[in-house]
Amino acid sequence: MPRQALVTGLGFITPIGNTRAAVAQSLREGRHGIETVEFLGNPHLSIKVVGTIKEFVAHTPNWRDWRFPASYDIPKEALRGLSPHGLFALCAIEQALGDAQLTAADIGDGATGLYCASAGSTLLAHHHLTRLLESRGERCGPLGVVSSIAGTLNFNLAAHYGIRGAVGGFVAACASSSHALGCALDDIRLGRQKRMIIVGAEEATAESILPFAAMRALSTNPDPATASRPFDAGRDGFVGSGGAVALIIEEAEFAQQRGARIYAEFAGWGQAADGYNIAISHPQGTGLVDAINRALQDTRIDSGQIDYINAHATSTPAGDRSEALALQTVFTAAGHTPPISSTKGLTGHPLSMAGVMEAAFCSLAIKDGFIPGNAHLRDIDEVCRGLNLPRETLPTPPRTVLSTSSGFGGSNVGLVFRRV
Amino acid sequence: MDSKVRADKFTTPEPAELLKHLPARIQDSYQRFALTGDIQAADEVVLAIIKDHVPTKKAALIPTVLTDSSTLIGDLGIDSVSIADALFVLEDVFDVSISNQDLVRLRTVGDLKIFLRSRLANKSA
Repeated sequence: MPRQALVTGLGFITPIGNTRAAVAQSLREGRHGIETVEFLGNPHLSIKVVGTIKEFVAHTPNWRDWRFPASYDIPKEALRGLSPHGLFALCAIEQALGDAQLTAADIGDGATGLYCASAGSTLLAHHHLTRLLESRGERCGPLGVVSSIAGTLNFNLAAHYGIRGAVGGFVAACASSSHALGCALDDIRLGRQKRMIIVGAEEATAESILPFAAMRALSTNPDPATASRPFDAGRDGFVGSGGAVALIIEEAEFAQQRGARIYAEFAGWGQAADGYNIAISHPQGTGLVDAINRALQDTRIDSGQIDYINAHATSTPAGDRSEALALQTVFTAAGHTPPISSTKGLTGHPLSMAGVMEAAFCSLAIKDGFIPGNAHLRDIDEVCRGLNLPRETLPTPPRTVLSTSSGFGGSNVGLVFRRV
Repeated sequence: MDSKVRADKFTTPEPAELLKHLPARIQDSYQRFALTGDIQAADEVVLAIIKDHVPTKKAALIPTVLTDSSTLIGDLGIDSVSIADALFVLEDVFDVSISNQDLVRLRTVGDLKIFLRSRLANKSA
């Protein structure tokens, strides 16, 4: 019997809530976390909405100006090397540790590893490089590198928590934290680690979101209640968002011995790339089809056993289309129509953190016994025919759940979670 | 690098901005130093910036440990990255430059105070 991995802790700093209870309520009630913003004080920008991070003020380079809930006791030596999304990640891990009834003292013995997903802090990179360039190379903050490059989460968090197991960072844009989850599962299965913490985080600043507007990837719909509407015929791009989500998995016997509360089994995963385009998903979703089939194969189940799919669908015309076709190929063509929803209608698209956020949503759905609906879906796109896209939350407890992710360069991941 | 040449080439952040999180008396000390060149006032600012980089778990020891002979790493527990950060602040606040060669000689609080005093004296000379 191969080793099993169980989800034992969740932590959330998301547009739809900063606690497990608030997130579960938002998912059940279809309450979105998207708000009107004016980036860079420029009313002429066509991007008007974002999935905002509540209770935190951390969109400036100086950590001393940041504000966050007093319940997080973070020493200044930890804050000094953090980026804003590092702050969110640390708070999400604090929550996940509490949720799993673990303390920082429990995770420093080498049996616990940490995998992070981050695109780095463009805000801080810009801040430090501006100083560097203006001084013609003479001045740059000493913590500029560790606070801003893409490994910033693993550098800071591994040091802060004294993690001595496997530590690494994953950089595959919107598939990053799904890669982190899959590799963490492999480490548990191979007996390399007893426990893995996976965290993904994003800043939702002008510097992290507006570059996607240049790619014409963002919604220009100014209405927070309809801008993010995956699978809808009227969708016109994604709504950027951010925050952090942390998820803890533990080897089953190890978790059971300590009497851990279990959300779900993280039962399998698969990945496959399109080999097609730097940013656009394959028009037929071929890489995603392969990733899903590999995830099913890894879990030793067939597509008929999946009873909920949390889709990656970000509300872009091309991406949702590819995913719809991929899901038709794997499920509809085989005679299966499990409920499918994209929770990005509620959260917007938090890029690197999307995979772990949605894995945590799936864990909540399994534990609490519900299937989130497709918020803001009004006119289902013709391309989605044959897919079961409930608009409202279903009270049905899902048993086996698939979560998909797709990132730039055509990276696709399928993750399978199962009720224990 | 001569600090006067350097300062002509680009602007540094305002000292008031860099010190705004420190107690008001430290900001007053900086103003006194800036207006009168009072070197003891400069010492107070240097000490405050060092204290600000002492890790939280060592902070309770400051009243007994922070003397001129205290070593930055051994006694105060400031790691070398945080020392670099403290020096970066000192360079900006006092508009001086501290080289890697200078850095290896700065082991104690007293070393740092004396070093800064000599740099500031050279500047005003």
